[in-house]
Amino acid sequence: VEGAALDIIAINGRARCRACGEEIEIGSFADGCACGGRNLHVIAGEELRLKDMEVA
Amino acid sequence: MCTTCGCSVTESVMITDPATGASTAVAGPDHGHSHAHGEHHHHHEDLHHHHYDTEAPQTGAQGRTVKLEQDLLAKNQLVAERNRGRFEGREILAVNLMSSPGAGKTTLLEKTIGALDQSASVYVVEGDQATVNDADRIKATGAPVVQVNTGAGCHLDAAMLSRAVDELRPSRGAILFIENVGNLICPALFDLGEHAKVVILSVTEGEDKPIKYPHMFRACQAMLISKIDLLPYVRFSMQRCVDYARQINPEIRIFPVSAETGEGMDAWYDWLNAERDAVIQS
Repeated sequence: VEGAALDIIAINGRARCRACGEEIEIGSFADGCACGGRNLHVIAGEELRLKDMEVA
Repeated sequence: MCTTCGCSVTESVMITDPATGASTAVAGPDHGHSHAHGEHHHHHEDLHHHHYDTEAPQTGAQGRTVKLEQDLLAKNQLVAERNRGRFEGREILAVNLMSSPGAGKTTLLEKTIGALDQSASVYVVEGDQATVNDADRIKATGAPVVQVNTGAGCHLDAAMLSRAVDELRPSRGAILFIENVGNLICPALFDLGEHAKVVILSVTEGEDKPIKYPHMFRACQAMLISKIDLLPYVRFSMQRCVDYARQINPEIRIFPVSAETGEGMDAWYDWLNAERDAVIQS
């Protein structure tokens, strides 16, 4: 693996607010919804996926 | 994550039965094996991680991109779901206890086993990088226990638990406690197939742990704030700790306890008994 490079593509966090149902973008688990709701269901951003590999 | 903490280094995982002292090495380095997609749930004898164990065609082509599209935790998830089915089929309440090292998991377990003794059979899987010290402490309570030593690993994974349960053979309707490796980071990522995850935070650690390690506190259904008998001697705001935890996980159940004095322990036992009833009735 000498000289190999690892590319990490970070996905934005997305969540649905359990209070108002709105889908929102979040940056951390501590974020809240604009409606004041704090109970969020995280729907994206926690993936750990190996997409592809470039073989030289 | 794990690649940075060093636990992806392949090193033997050992399972020890403290009753007999018999140890089995369960992880031989097993790289380079390949199998067709969709055949991942055969019985793995090797318990090391498969984070990077995907089928990369060795074509020898120059500079070509190989599409992999593999979830890094997919194999763990498959084994975890098998464990879950196994527990459900036998009405076993499996509880994954996690905390930083020294938060009081083993002491809490010792007290809990003593208190639950009359109502349920209790079994324990102990996870530590090394030593059978904790298993020896649990063995002294009379509960059947096996020790998993993870070697370089910083957490238990579903395959390790599966092997440990093979050894333990918990009875129908039992409570199975899984004492994970002391670590607030990696264990949060690995589903073991447990019914509930519980995090223990001692008052000597500081009240801001929930926001410092949000993945852990988010993954758990319950949080025990332990060693509350030490509150007069440490700077720890119970209210701020609870607020931080709820900020990360509004639905988390919180139990302030002292295993030493017994304060608050009844609420924890009530919760365990209610969870067990739910497992048996569902």
